[in-house]
Amino acid sequence: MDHGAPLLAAHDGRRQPAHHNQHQPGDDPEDPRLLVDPQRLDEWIGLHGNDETERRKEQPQGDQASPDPIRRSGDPQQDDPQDDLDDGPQSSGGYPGHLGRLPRQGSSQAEASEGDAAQNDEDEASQTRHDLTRRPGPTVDDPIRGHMLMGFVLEFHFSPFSRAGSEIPTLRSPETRSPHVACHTCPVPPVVTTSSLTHDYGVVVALDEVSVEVPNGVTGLVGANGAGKTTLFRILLGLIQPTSGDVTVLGHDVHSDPLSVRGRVGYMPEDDCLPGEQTAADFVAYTAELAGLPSGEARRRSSETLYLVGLEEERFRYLGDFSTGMRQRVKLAQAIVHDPMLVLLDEPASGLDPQGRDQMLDLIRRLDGFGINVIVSSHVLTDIERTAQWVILLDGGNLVRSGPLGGGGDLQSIVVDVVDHAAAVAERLSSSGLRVTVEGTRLLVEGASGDLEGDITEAVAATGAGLIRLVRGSLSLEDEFLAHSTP
Amino acid sequence: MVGALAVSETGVITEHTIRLTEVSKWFGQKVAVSDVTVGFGPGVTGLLGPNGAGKTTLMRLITGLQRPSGGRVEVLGRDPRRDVDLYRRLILVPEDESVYAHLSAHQFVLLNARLMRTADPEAATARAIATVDLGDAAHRRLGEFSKGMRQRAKVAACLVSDPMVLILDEPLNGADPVQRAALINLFVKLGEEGRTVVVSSHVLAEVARMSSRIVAMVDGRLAAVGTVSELRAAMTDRPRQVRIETDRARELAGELMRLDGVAGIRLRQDTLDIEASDALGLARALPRIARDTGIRLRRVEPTDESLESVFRYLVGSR
Amino acid sequence: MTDNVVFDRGYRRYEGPRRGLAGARAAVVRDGLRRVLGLRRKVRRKIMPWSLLAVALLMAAIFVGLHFFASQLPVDMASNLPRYGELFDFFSWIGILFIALAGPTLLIPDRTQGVLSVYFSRPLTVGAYLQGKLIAFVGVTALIYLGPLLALHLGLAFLSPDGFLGYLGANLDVLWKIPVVSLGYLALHGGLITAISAVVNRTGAAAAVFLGILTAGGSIASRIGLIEAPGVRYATLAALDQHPRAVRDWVFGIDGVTYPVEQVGFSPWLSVATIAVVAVAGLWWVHWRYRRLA
Repeated sequence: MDHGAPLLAAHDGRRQPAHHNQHQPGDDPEDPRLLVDPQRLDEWIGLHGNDETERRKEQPQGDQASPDPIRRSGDPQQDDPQDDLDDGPQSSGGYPGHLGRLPRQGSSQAEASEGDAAQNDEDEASQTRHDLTRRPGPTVDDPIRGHMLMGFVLEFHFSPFSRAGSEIPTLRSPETRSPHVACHTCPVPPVVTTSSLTHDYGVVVALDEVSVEVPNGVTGLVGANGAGKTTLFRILLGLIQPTSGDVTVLGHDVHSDPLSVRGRVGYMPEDDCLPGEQTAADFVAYTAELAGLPSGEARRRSSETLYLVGLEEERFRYLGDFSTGMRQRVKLAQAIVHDPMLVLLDEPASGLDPQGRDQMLDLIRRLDGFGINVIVSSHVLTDIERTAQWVILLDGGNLVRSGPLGGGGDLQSIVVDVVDHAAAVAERLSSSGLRVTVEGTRLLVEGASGDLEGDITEAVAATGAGLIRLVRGSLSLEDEFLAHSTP
Repeated sequence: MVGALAVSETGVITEHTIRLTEVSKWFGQKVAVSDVTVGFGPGVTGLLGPNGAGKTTLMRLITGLQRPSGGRVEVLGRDPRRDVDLYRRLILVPEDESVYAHLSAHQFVLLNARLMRTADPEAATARAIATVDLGDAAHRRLGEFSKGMRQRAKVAACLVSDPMVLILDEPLNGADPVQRAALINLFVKLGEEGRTVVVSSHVLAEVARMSSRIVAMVDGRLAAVGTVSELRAAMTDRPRQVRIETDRARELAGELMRLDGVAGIRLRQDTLDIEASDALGLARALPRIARDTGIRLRRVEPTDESLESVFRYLVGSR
Repeated sequence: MTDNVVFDRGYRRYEGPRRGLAGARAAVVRDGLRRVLGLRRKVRRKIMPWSLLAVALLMAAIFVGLHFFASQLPVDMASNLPRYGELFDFFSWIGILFIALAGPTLLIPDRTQGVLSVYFSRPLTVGAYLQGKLIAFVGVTALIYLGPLLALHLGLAFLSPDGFLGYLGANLDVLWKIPVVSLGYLALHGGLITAISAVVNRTGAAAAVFLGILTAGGSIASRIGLIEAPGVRYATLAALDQHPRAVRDWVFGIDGVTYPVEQVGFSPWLSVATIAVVAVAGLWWVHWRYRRLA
């Protein structure tokens, strides 16, 4: 068995988010430490399916040279401690939430020094007791975690809707996004690929030669005119055959094999779609059974996912009695109950009041943390800005843009709010060649300086003004959308 | 605490187009609106609140569709229930979809124009349709419209009688981003023309853009009245939150903790979340400290000024 | 080894078996059965089906009782009591009501509640979905047709002077006649209600249309058919309710009412054919209506 081909643990489409940023030196395809060898992907998928346990059993005992598990590639010291600190909810919401994230800070350093003698049997043992080894976090195969889990483990349990929540920053500039930057140069297969996808309903053209690659992570889908996005979702699920063009979802061609696509995709429709006469638990369990889960498992997972989305004893009430917010949560629960690799969310926050909206967006970010890829479609651009890392803009069936959030704008300007002395600050800055516009206590600074922020801080400190806001701005999603869309 | 906020403004009577005085409404046991005293004047006022807070009932009380169980409602000085003429001046755009699907948009607006006995129905219809930018689709049937376009048709139907007062319940529901932006601009323009526009919506970012004034309701009662900055300023029992992104976060945190005005710092990767009891002091100290230590500030942003955070506070406090 | 561990109860992956289309179909069957019988649903939903079942079983018990008392009498009254064939008609009305309830309940709410968009987002084909519904339908109506009649049969066996097994032995033909005739009823009524439920969108309306076609439609068709005109006699075939009964009479050898089909001289095989046509047409129709869904 050739172990020369390391495989991203999430070869089945899930990603290890942290690794996108971790390019090994050189990125030499022959380098055995390369995180993913795309040519071997198919091979691995064919050989091992989705069963990670199986794959781990294949690893030779104590094979230090084996580059399989990502973290074992090279020295543990090379591991970027950064990677332990990010992941899902901690970086985006400010609280661990239902995931019960471990406090990875510091612990990995301690563990790292233990070396990575492959302790496969311990991993095995720990794995059966702790699903943590299968977390979509930094790595699934990390033997170090196996060690850690044998001992005393702290678990955080917070209400998913903690009011201590910090304000979710508007994702205007790339730096503030969680490190799940969709990396187009990373050799991770895109979740969805369409090529020249066209679909029309007679005269109305819903999609017109759309060729797009949807990366891992959370992708926002925005479009004027409802027909395009619903059509796209139905095409992705294999429910409609497009007029022309190809679509590949999670590596499967939708046209020839819609059923396997649907087995790994979840869908949250926009409209009312819940039967009033069943209880939430019963309904979600039924949808799990329809995805092929045996009854017992279906019931268990139904209970778990309903709990994860925040419904506790309401699970056993009839859906007819549910409020809008609860309904939306049930819809989300049924979309993830069968452990999909991709979920399609159609206006998930519609009808929700601001609090509910907050909570729903939070849940969506958490899906990202679970390692589930998401395509969210919404008309409310601020919602997209708060959840997505990649945005696809459709207008009248045409693809306007497909790119990272915030990537479409001009990053050369900075918004500065000061307490006072705005004019003095402005003067200082313009005297060093920057273009400054002043409006009251707000300055807009533009220029090609290498360190705009530094210059500004300097100027504010020198004038003794107080600094309230310093934000590198890009076009907001709405500005971009309006600029591109046909009036 | 919540009560203190509600006091923020009452204003002079003649400034208000709509005045509610100790208005309550109950349906059997359920109290939908409880002892609300508030006024609405020219410009756009955003009406906010969780689901079930009583916003829709309040709107129906204002337009005279319901009679208050207690208190008094006055619109333009008159009782909306008694004065039928007022219907010409007030329009409600209800959320529900009970629109005449078989009519075309043009017919629907024209029908409304005639019902309101406008002077020149055809001209008014044309104007209204042009204002909401439905021109091309005006002759298609409403049943074929998307939700966003139906909303626009309803707004056109409201505008056709040139009303002084517009009460709009979730008018952006279902509209796509372009339609939303257009409608927001429209409402702002109507407000600037001196009309009294009351809009309820759940998307706070949009409410903040449209409205100069906010009325927030929670559980049937008034939670707050005022502009966003006024409200924020009034919430004095809460320290301000500031988020700073920097390369040497821990070091900066250490420096900042020495300041009196800093109550707490949460450190996460490159980001500091600071609780400042003296936000101004922090603002002044920050650039100085950064310059002196050479720590580079990548981003500084107050995180609790938005309507979102004000709202969260309002809904959360009991 | 100390066991100081706290388990993490967050999101788990699912790596277990997935049963594919067959599993999905089985799930549809189970759900269909529960839906008709009102299981795992509000109490209100259980009233109709269970009371119909109860009535049917009660009637069976009563007939057994009647046979018992008749056998106690000195005079041989037992032969005057209705036997299986005649009772079929009686039970069939309960069956028809049950079918009028079951068919729409299986098909219509899924459509009107919008759940189909969720179901077909799963690896489920329209074919498997409809097959599952069909199996559930047959299962549940078999319950109401066969159940009481078999109970009756066993009751009579107990009471029989020839002893339990002796009676059964002597009446082996009943054991195939009952299911065959039941199938006739089931196929005709089932086909009809399925076709109706694929089109109508309210459960009550579907049931009403179904019952209407059976009763009023039947009598109208038979009257037309008796008009003396060439080819018109085929119109009698449209009196659908008579076909299962004609088959029953034929199978059980009863010589009772003369049905319009008999009056115009058709053989019972034509009734069988008509039943088959209705059943197949109903199934094809529903499949055709649903084809665009997935």
